[in-house]
Amino acid sequence: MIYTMNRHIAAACIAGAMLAAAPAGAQTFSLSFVDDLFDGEPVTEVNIAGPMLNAVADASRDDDPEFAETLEEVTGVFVREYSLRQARSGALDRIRSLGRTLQRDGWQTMIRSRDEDGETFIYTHPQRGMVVVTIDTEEDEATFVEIRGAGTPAQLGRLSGRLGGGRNR
Amino acid sequence: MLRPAAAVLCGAILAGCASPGLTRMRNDIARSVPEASIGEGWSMGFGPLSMAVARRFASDEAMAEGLDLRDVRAVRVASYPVRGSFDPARVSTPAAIRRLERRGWTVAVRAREADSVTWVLYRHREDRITDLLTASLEAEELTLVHVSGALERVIRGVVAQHGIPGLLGNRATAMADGE
Repeated sequence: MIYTMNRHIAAACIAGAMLAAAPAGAQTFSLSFVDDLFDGEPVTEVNIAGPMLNAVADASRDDDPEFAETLEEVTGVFVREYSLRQARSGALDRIRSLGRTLQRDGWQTMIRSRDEDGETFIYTHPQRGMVVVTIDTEEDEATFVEIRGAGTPAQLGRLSGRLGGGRNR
Repeated sequence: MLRPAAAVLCGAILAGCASPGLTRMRNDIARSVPEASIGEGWSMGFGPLSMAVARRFASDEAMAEGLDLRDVRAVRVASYPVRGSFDPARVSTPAAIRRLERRGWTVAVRAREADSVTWVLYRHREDRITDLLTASLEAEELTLVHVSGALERVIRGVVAQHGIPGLLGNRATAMADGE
């Protein structure tokens, strides 16, 4: 029974640590309007901020000090992933025009790419961080990632890569 | 005859056995998946006394998993059998989870896999993570776990032990990596 308890505590803490979130209200996803572009709830929703982010940074300090240092520059990581089957009419056009909206708020387009597997857009802001939008036609999904903080694009890119755990294809 | 240590262990465990919140959550989740049937299952709770016993008998094993039980004040676990199939994409967030959000909990994760739905919530007080709750609805089992205490160090230990798995999609990862 104690073994079962340990297993469940570990599972809860692992899930929470990897996936956990920020104080409600103060740290929320900036791109919440994307919820209106799709029917139903996202396939995956992730919010990492506040004390959970600090815990992850501390846990990484010994093995990867550079990653921990970058995390200290970040105040939140937020992810929304939708199935493209949930997309409402006109949703993809609005996603593609997101850059224009962000540019009005001082964001810069860092990458805009299209290939046979889909499209990728990366926007950066010197104080507000990085937004990564992907339309993956192979996986049939749209993913929105916001890394909030004042890190450099290179730091935020490394952070995004580190949290992503490597490329699978 | 029951050995004294075992008697203390049983008594301590039984002392924390009420889990009314989890039962209500199970009922709300059952309403979110009307096409499936969620049975009665079991639940158990470890309060401060039970945790003291657990620390006495299971600290080494827990530490091997990266868990420092000194920081865990209480644990409640419940498991219920699920019968019948359901489509995870069509399972909406249960009322119980929305109720917790209104009471100051943060939904950290809503994740839908091919055959499961998981919610992870936590509550914090200033810089302290005081509660962590996971609800995992799978094809054959609904599991609810509520851990409370001062959980930052527990989380740090588990992350240090098990690492950080992928959070971002493949394309986002590859592009942000400059590949």
